[in-house]
Amino acid sequence: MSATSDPLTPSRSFPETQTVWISDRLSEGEAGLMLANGYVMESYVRPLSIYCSKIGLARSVRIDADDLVHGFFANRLSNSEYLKSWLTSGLRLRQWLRNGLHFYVHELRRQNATQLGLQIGGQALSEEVLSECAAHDHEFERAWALAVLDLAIKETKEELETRNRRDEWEMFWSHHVEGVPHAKIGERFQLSAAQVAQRAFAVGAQLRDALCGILRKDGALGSEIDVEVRSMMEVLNELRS
Amino acid sequence: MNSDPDLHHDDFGASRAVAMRLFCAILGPNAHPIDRLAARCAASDGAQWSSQVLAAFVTVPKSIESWIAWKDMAKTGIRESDLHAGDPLALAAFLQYLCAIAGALAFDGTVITKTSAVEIRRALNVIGPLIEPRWQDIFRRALVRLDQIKDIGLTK
Repeated sequence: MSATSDPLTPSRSFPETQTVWISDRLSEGEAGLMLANGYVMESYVRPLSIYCSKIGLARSVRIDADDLVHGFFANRLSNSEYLKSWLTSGLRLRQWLRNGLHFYVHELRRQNATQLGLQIGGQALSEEVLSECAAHDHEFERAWALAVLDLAIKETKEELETRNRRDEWEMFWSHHVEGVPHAKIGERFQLSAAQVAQRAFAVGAQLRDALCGILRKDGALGSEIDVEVRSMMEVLNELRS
Repeated sequence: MNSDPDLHHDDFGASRAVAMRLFCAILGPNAHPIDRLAARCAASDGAQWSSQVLAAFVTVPKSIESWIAWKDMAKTGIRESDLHAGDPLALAAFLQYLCAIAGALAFDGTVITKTSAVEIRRALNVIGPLIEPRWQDIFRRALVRLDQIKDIGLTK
């Protein structure tokens, strides 16, 4: 047995525990549940809504995509057990919600069919939903990647603005997105290249922390963040055409 | 694109390029060179940039030895530390290096690198569609060749 796996030998760091923010909120009763629901709606409405539009899910039940997602949230999150069930599902929250949305759409289709006196049958519901989900996996992951990055940008910028440091975002953006050298940015802000580099680096770290926080709430471990980011990049690359 | 982006509402091509660059910034030194190169090629002037980089090679090699020479020449421009920092010259050399590998593969199926087939495949898949059509075709043929190769020990 290697030294690191020997239970009697102390490891260099504590084993990572999956601290799920939502789990903590759910243990706080009604107020915590409201916070958790609010977070879920705010963070997931956009990727789910875009996903619905892209794959025609909303059209299939003749509802506007935003309305469909809001209806889904109203229906599911009013049940206090819904998010608790996610905690034991082993799925990322985004996947859990997307599956739930597909089930919700099937319920709506059945309701519509019943009202029209039609029969829907054949394939088992879960099988049908899972195959529908699998077929559009990339579309959803792409919507998620852009949404999660948008949220992290928003959080980072708000934090910088609160501390009256909006300029630092501009430095970060000019260098990392527009490819402007630090020295040139420094001329604009009357700073040395090293000072700009330092500030841009700090903003990058802040953006990373914001992204990390969102991904952890989705169910990722802190140690998985780089892997998550790389897979988001892959998804964006795969769908370039 | 301005520094107040709306990645969902902005044009997807531009959003993707911005997202790729931001992800590279988030990963910092851990960003893979392929992703840095993809971010560069996906930028609004990326197609023009890659065309200029590849135009530096006036004649496309007609023998495997020439592809190897091309690869070796490109390799001299790649300093790993610069590549990880996203240095434009290092990225240009890396693109040429990758094109030499793709060219040799497409030419007669020879693998002229010790890089794993998985990595090569990923690079061809990610970068291929971002560059000019002539090279896209070479990358496509390289991928077909790579799929046919069982024994990756054929390196030169």
